[in-house]
Amino acid sequence: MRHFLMALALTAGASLLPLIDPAAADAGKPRSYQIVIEKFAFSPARLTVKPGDTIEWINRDLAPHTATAKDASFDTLRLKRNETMRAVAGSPGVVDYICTYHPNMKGVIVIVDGPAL
Amino acid sequence: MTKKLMIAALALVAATGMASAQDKLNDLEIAHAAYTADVIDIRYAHIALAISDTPAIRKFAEAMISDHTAVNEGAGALLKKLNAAPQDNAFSQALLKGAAEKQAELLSLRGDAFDKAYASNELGYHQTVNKILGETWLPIVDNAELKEFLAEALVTFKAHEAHAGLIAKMAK
Repeated sequence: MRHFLMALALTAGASLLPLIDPAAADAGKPRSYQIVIEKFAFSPARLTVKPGDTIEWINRDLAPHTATAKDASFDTLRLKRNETMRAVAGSPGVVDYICTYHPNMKGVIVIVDGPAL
Repeated sequence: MTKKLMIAALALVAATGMASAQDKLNDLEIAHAAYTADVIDIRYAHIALAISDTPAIRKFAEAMISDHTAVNEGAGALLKKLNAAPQDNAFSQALLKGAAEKQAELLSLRGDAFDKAYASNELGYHQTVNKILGETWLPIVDNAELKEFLAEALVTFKAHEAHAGLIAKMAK
């Protein structure tokens, strides 16, 4: 069982994704979400998505960070300021993640199947 | 006096002792002192990676290298943009002198004794530098961009102080 598909390309610069894509939501298609890393915290710290949804992490801090799943299902690796990394949600489950440099930074992705959230 | 209180007291003494050297620095001297403080902590981290086998200590040291390097790269980019160069000063020299003595002490230690000394030093060092940066330097920095940059750096250093508190507790 894989909670995440491979993380997609690392990009630098401004975010390309809105928090939620209304058009995609209306059509029942996969959505895109963004988690902002700022002031040594993930925001939102807890995010619920569906299989096929895309999650993007963007680092706004001066300090580099990672978003690294405890079950190894995804890892953004080292994100410098304004760099982003995306991952696509796979099978349902709860995935806890941390920043490997600053392990007191914690987040959780909940992947649920079923009707629209 | 508890160990925690002793560490806090030592940090305060260190800050007081440096007071005469860090009064009335100009922007470029503050930039130099902040850069020097970063470099010193990177050196401590490299010593930790060379000596300690404790995963939590090594992870902390790796974070210090990553973060302080990023801060100094950001500072360098800002100074280049401002077409300015940092200026050496008595406070930077005092920092380097104190660091040389601490590095010699750390290099003589091994095992748990090293972990305890490194963690305690990281906590005290960040407490001292954060106090000076937040209470003395930030209020007197003239350049708005440098002030904003240093305020953001302080967010990073305060996170380090909290992290150092955890490893210091672990290494007791």
